This record gives sequence, structure tokens and C-alpha cells, in this order.
Amino acid sequence: MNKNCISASWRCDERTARQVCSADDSDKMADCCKRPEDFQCPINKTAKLDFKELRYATKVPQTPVDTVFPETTANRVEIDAKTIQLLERLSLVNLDSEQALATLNSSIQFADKIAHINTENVRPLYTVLENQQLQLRNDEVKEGDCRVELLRNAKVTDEDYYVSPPGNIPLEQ
Amino acid sequence: MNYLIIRRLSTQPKLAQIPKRWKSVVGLEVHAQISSASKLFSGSGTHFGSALNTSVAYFDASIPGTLPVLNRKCVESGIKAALALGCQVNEVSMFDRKHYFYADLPNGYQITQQRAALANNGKMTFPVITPGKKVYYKSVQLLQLQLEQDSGKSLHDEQLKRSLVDLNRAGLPLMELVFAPDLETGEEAASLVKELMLILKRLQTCSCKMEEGALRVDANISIHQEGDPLGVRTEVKNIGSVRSISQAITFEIHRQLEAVAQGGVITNETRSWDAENRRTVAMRDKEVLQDYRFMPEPNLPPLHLNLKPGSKSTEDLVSVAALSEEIPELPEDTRQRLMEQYQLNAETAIILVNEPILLDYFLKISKDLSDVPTKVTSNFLINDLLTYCNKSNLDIEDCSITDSDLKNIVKGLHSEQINLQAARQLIQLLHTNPTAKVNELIKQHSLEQICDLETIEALCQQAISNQPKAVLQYHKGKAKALFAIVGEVAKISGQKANMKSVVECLEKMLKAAKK
Repeated sequence: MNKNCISASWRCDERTARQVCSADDSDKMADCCKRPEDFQCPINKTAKLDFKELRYATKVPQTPVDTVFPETTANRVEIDAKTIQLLERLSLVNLDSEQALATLNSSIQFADKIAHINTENVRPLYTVLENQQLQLRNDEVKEGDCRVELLRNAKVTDEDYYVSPPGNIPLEQ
Repeated sequence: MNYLIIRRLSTQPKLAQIPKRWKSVVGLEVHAQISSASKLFSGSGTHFGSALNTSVAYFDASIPGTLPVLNRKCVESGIKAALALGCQVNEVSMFDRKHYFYADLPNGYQITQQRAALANNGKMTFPVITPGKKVYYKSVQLLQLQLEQDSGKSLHDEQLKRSLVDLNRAGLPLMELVFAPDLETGEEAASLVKELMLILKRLQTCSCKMEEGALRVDANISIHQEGDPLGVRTEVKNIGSVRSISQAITFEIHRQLEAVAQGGVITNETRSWDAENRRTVAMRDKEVLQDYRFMPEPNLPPLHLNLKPGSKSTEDLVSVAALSEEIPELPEDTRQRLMEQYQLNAETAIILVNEPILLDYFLKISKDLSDVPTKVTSNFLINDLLTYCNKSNLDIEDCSITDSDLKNIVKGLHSEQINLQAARQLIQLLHTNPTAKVNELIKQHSLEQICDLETIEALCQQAISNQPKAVLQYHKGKAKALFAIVGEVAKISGQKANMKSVVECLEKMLKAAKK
């Protein structure tokens, strides 16, 4: 959950982040959804996210969309012991307990719905927001001038440069 | 560029004696920085030469949690360029990540358009100007036009073995134009870029200042024998001027031909143009084939455009039809117009259009002095003004002569107040003293043309007596000898005599003398 928050982060998708990580999770997500300001000041750990304001409009739906899938309980997938062993080895998850097995079964059941959807002549999707129009920004200078803050993140600097190991240069020099 | 290779030691002499021609193939990739106030995906500024690492937003420095937001103006500029180059603009285009591991690319990837670009399938037709050869037109296919980010800039500190990174350039908007390998020579490549610069400047989508890196050219070059498949290509980067394009490509073609002639092989490598030593040098970068690990950019949904004719742009949907109405007259159209409206020949039209400031002068002077034949104006601008600038190694844009000064000179030329010699002298005088007035300079340096027939007759008489040899030759039927006498008149009149009258007068006098 928290990992998802990073990509759907403060810049344009705060509200989604709030939906994905329920209010109870807010302590846990604090780390991954930090505002840049917080990265520059590690001392200030109390800073909280401000979800109230979006900087730019978002195309992410603000309420969940319900989709009805055809019922597939009839062709239930059975897993044999050998497959379970393989899964245990690959995933390093112990499937010994009744509960773990039940979770696995219900997960397969959940995912299995996709296999029964007719996708013939349907173009593969690149993003779930494919039919949305990409949000455009007016050509205005609103950011920048934060060299001191930015360079504070760098391990080595010189004058006002970042310093890095040598890069690609002509061979005969 | 066509080299003949004759195999001397061959078991099949008859077949081998048929010489195969070597052909060079050149393809260009051009990166043009889109003129905009803010960057492609962030709101930081784009001003060239701002203080180190100040035009950098959190996004440009890849601070976690930041996301890209596309600049509308960059999309519009890309579409305009695509339309001007006859591209098919795509209704849906997408962004991809192209991964590099460079210190000046903080994200570790560049956001570009690989699978579905903004536009495809354009075509450019342009005049090729090779010194000493006739101008001809060449067409090149434009395979793709895409939007992408620029990287930061690295300064290499050789002594301390480190790189200094400035992120001001990171995230600047670029349009990359990928041309098909339809070219053969360095001159063709330079002419293509010259025309592209004219178009992008007209559209005001790129400053095209190569010295600032606002337009960068990478050239892919290979050689093969006629009838064979294309050879292995090398890529030449770091070409810093239009002149260098021609030089770098010509050098690289020769280098490859020489390498093959000595039994070597061409390897797929990236080479850098060393303008100082005029040669290409292998780069450490890209010695092995790179895997860019292309993937769809998950943070940007597809870019949709409105292709419906007659549509208008809305807040988040740019209309291509609306933008097509903003396309100005393109250089080739101007050339055609000059030829039709002002009866100029193709060469003259090409030279005028290639120097926007010269074209500007021409149009202004032609408009204000409608009774002066356009040929007088175009000849003066090209043969005298441009030649003066070229000779004194001066960029015509830096020449301080104003259009009203030029107008007065052309006026004087037409009314025969001054002759060409005087006009040339005036250009020089005005450039060194831009505040001076043309009429005052004419008086001050007594540049008025001598048109008075009696004075001319006297001058001619003197010239004839000064050049008895030439007169004799002329009478023997050598018409060219007349020029020697005309030259003498020019000399004794201090280059001020009206040459047309002098020639008429001399012919009359010499004919009379013969009788």
C-alpha cells in the first residue's frame, strides 16, 4: 500500500493517496509521502502532509469505480500440493496454515475473474487513465531558485556545482 | 565523394575491373530546444546562462514524490513544427522512460516519446548550396518528431578526475527530429539544418542558437558500395555550428573510406567532433550497445490532441486545426513569392531568404522605392553588402548599417547620383560610422558620379592618349581591349565616372578615330 503512495504522491494526487492509505495508516505513510521540504530537513520529523490542496488538477477518479465481473465459482481452480510447494519456494511465504491456504485460494479466485473476460478485438491498455486527456500546464515560471536547499542533499559539492565521478568524455584527451 | 576502387589483384579480372562506386549515406538527428518560459515538465525557468543550479525545480533534481506536469506551450510548438514540416500529427501520443546512468540525469531516465511520438512522416525539401556548384533541391523524409527532456550539463575536471554538474539544463523542452538517411554529403546535411533553422525561427519555436546548444545535430554516417546493403554507421556528436556539420561529415566520410581502403573495418561507435583540430574522435561512451530499458512513463497518461477540422483548443485539449492557422509563410513559400512578385531568379531568392535580415532590407527597400528595379536592390544587397560582410568576416546581423541608409544608397545608385564603387565605399564608411548620413558622406568624400558628358569626353580623350597600345589592339578588332581604356578612365576619374556613359562615349570616339 505504502509503496503505491509514492507514485500517487503529493504533487497531483494527494486525494488518491488518502483513499489508498486509509486515515488509520497515516502514520505509516508519512515516510513515503513526505514533501520535498521534509527531505531537506531531516530534523523536522513532525511535518505532516497537507492533503487539502492539490497543486495541479488530477485526472484520477476521486471515487472508486465499481465493476461487476461474471461469477466464476463454477470453474474453481484447484491447486495441488506440488504447486503449493513451488509457490512457497518462489515467494518465501509459508502456506502451511489453513488461513494462508484460504488466502491463497481467495486470491486466485479474485484474479481468476480476469481470465474469463472476453478481450477479443480489445486494444491492450497502457494505463487505466488512457481515455483521459493529459492535464496541461500553462507556460509560467513558478518554481526554482532553491539551490541552497537542493545542494544540501548532495554529498559532495564545489562552488555551486554537484560533484560526481568522471562521466563520458572523448577517448583521446 | 564518389571514390573509385579498382581491385588490382583479382582472380576474376574481367568482373573485378568493373569499378564500383562508393556511396556515402548520412542521416541526421536534430535536437531543437523549444522556446518557452518554463521547462517541459516543471515550472522552473529556461533562461540561458542563469546562475548555476538556480533554474532547477524539485522535479528537475528528482526529489522523491514529485511528478511531471506537461507544458502546454511545448506541445503547441511541437505541433506547429510538425505541421510546417508536413508531418502527420498523431491524435494520441505517449511518453516513455529511456534509462541512462549519467550524473547529469538525476532521475536515471529521460522522459521521451518512443512508441507513439507527437508526429511522424514529414518531408523537407530544401536548396543545397555547395560553393562553386549549381544550387539544387533535395528532399528528405522526416521519420519522427517527438517531445523530450534535456539532461543537465557536466563539466569534466580532468586533473581531479571528477565531473561538475549543473542541472539548469535538466528538463528543458526539446523536440527531436529524426530524419531518414536520405543525404549523401556534408553540404546537403548543412543545407538541411540551415533550412530547418529558418523554419523553426519563422515559427518562433526555437532560437536555433547552436552556440548556446539550443540546436544540436547528431549525424549518422556510413559508406557502402553501390548495390550493396548499407554499411556499419558511426554517430558523430558535439557539432557546434552549421559550418561544422559540413566539415565533420566530410571528414568522417573520408576517414571511413580511408579505413576501408587500408583493409580496416568500420565499427558502430560514437565519435565527437573536435572543431579545433577538425577531426572526429572516438568517445568512451557507448563502447558497448546500450540497453535503454524503455518503459511507458507511468506518471503521464497519453497526450490527446483534437484533430477535427475547425475545432478550437480547450483547457486540456489542444486543437491541431487551430494551430495550423497560426503557421506563418515558410521559407520556401517566400522564395516562390520573391520569384513571382519581384521577378528574382532562384539563386537570388535563395540567398535573400537564407539571410533573414537581408530579406527584411530587400522587402523594405522594394516597398519604399517602387520605381527602382528589384534587381538593382537585390544585386546591391547580395553582391555588395553581403560580400563586404563576408570579406570582413562580419556576421550580417552585426553590421550596423540601417535600412534607411541602405535605401538612400540604392536610391543614389538608381538615380545615377553615385556608382557602384561609391556605394561600396559608403558601406564601409557607414559601418565604421553608423551615425553618419548617406548624403553628407557623399558630399564629404565627394563620391558623386561624374555624369556630365563634356567632362566624360575629356576624361575619355585623356585615357585614349594614355593607352595607345589598347587603342591599337581595339582597332585591330580585339573588342576586349576596350576594357583597358575603360579602366584607365575609372582610374583617372578616381572611380567616379559614370561607366555606362564612358563606354558609350569611348565607342563613339574610337569609331570616329578609325574613320
